[in-house]
Formats: sequence, C-alpha cells, structure tokens
Amino acid sequence: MDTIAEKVFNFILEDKLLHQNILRELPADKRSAVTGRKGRLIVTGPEGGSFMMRLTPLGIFREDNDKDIRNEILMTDDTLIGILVWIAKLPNNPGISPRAAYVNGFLKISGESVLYDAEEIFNAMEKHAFAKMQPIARDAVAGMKQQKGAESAS
Amino acid sequence: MRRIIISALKGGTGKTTTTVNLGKALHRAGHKVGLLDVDATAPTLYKALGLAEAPQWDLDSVAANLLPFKIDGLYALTLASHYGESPAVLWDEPTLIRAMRELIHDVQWPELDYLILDSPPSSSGFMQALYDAVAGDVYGVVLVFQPTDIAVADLVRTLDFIKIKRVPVLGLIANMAYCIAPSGKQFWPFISPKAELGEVCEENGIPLLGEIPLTSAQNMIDAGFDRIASFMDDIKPLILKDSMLTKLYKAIAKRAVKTAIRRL
Repeated sequence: MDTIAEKVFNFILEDKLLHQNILRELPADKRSAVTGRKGRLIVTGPEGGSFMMRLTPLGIFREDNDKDIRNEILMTDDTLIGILVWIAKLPNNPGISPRAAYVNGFLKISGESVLYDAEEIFNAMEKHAFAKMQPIARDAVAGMKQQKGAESAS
Repeated sequence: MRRIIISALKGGTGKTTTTVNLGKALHRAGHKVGLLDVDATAPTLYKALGLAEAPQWDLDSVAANLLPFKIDGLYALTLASHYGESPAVLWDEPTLIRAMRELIHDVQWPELDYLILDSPPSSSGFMQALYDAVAGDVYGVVLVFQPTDIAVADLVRTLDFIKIKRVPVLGLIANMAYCIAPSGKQFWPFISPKAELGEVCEENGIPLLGEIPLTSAQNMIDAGFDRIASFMDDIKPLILKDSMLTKLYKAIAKRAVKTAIRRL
C-alpha cells in the first residue's frame, strides 16, 4: 500500500494541465529559467519515501537521475501529517503550516539560494496546490483516524 | 553604495528605530536609501516603518534574486516577509548564516547611495559571520546605545568586538538620551544611573554623532537624525586601534601558532 508521502507525491504529479497552465502564466524568460529544474522530496518515517521530480514544459514528472538536483525538501512523516492536517482545515486541530514548519526547523529546504527557493516553492504551493490538496489531506487524516481506531480496538 | 551596519551587542537599544529614522533622514537629504533587516530571529523593521504586516517578497525568477519593497521613498527588505511575524525561528546557526549571506549578496537593490543594515544583538557566531560577510565592503558601523551604566558595559564589549573584527566605525548615537518635560526641560526619569556616553566616546576615540531624546514628538527625533544625516557624507570611517587586551590575545595566539609549528 502507498505511504502517505507517496499519495501526496502522486497527487502533485497528477494534474499536468495545471502545471502547464502555471508555466504558461509566467513571462517567457522566467518560464525558461524554471523549466528543467529538478527537486527531491524526502520524507522519513513509516509513512515516508524519497521522490525526485523535474519540471518540463509538459508539467512535473518523476525523475530517476539525481544529477543537478537544485533543492531538497526534508521532513519527517509526522511533519507531513501535520501539514496535511493544516491543509485539511479541521475544526479542532490546526496542524502546522509549511512556513511555520520550515521556520520551526521541522521542514528543511536545501539549495544554493535557500531563501529565494523556499519562497518560490511556498508561493507556488499556496497559490496553486493547497486548495486542491484539501480532499487528499482530509482522506489521509480520516485514514489515519480509522487506523488508530483499529489499532486501539485490537 | 555605502553599506552601514547599525549595531549594538545589547538588545533594546533602538537599533531598528535608528535604522528607519536614519534612513528617512538620509532620504530627506536627497539620498536613495535601502534598509535591510538582517535580524533573523526578530525581524521588526516593517513595524518600525509603520506597517501592520511585512509585504510579500517579490522574486526575480530569472536571476533568482529577492526584490525589495518600496515605502515612503525608501527601499526595504525583511525576513518577516518570508516567514511572517509569529513563528519562533528555530533554525540552526549554519542555516541562519546562509540566509544572512543570501540577504547580503542576493538582493537586487536599485542604485542606492546608502544601504543600512539593521543587525541583531549579541556577539554570536551569526554576528561574527555578518561582519565577515560585509568585511571590505562596508562604509562603517553606527553604534546605538542608551546612556546607562549597564549599556556602557555592553558598549565597551561591542567596541572590543569591532576592534577584533577591524570593521570601520562611523560613530555612536546616544539613543533615548534624555526625556523632555512639558516645560522643555531635559530630565532623566529612569532608575538606572545616567552615564556620559560622550566620555566613553572620547576614551575610545570615536565620534558621538548625536543624542536622540525619548519622546513621542517625531519632529524632535527627525531633527536629531537630520543633523546626523547632514554630515554623514563627510564622516571619515575609522578603524579602532587594538586595545591592550586584544594585543595580548593576538600575541598569545601568535605564540601558540609558533609552538604548534615547532612541534610538527
């Protein structure tokens, strides 16, 4: 069964049309500056995994080659779950926003221009991804609750 | 572009307020001025500029540079734009230093006459790295202190730090130097004994740039900073001479190196 991190990563890869639209909105010089960029998401823990991606004119694709990775995002699966809870906007659990997780040191972004790159990543996620990720975040949180219930019953 | 660091190893002396007021005064004097908040753990420059929230950063994605915002003729950039005001910044020191270097080197400022850096307090590794990052490319440091006994002790430490780092000094601003009664009389209402910063300056051979009163009358504060701004162009930055203690440390270090080499 897929881990929560794999589900999130697959969801990010899924909407190629959205990726293309985002790219199309950019001025030509900016578009060519970001096209071809590679990144890696590393989530540690049982619900984690390591995933590489590349931005192409046709959208974000899974990448196998770690050469010229520009940024790595590193967090534990607990932090990822905290972020999903924040995205799900649950009434009694605020979770943790990615920016707060980053500043508190729970989420690390590596790269040469770490402030610039982190800002660009957060901007893109806030503008284009978090609202769309709400259903998957709610599913993930509901799944975790069910699992916890089953564990405590047994 | 002349880079000025507003510095004090002691907190609460008014570095951020001085950064903004000196920037405004230099702008009124016809200069193009940028303000850079390098206080990573408590970035409050935007508050001193009168903003409720730090404006979101603009990014130049081609050059991968951060772009400052403009307010009242001043250009400014703060880390509060990046992560907001409320989260506690728990970055380790290497991350803080890397972020600071990026702020120093990778911001796309317009043509400026002055860039004023609002630095955090302390002599931590971060501050040492800040001084190292601007070394050779800084016009000078402006020290900001209150005239109290406690502040003087920290001022002496700050001066020693600057001597070791060999960064040029422009002078000292005595902030919250006195209060003004409705009658116009100057008075000192604080429990802490008043110290004469002028004497400390004289002893250490640095100019006292001005005394700023603790008052809500912004016109009086502006007048104080206008006076400082009027001679800013003419100040000759000076490298402070080593203190006896620093000379002693250097001699010890030199001897330790020689001994180590002999043992090799």
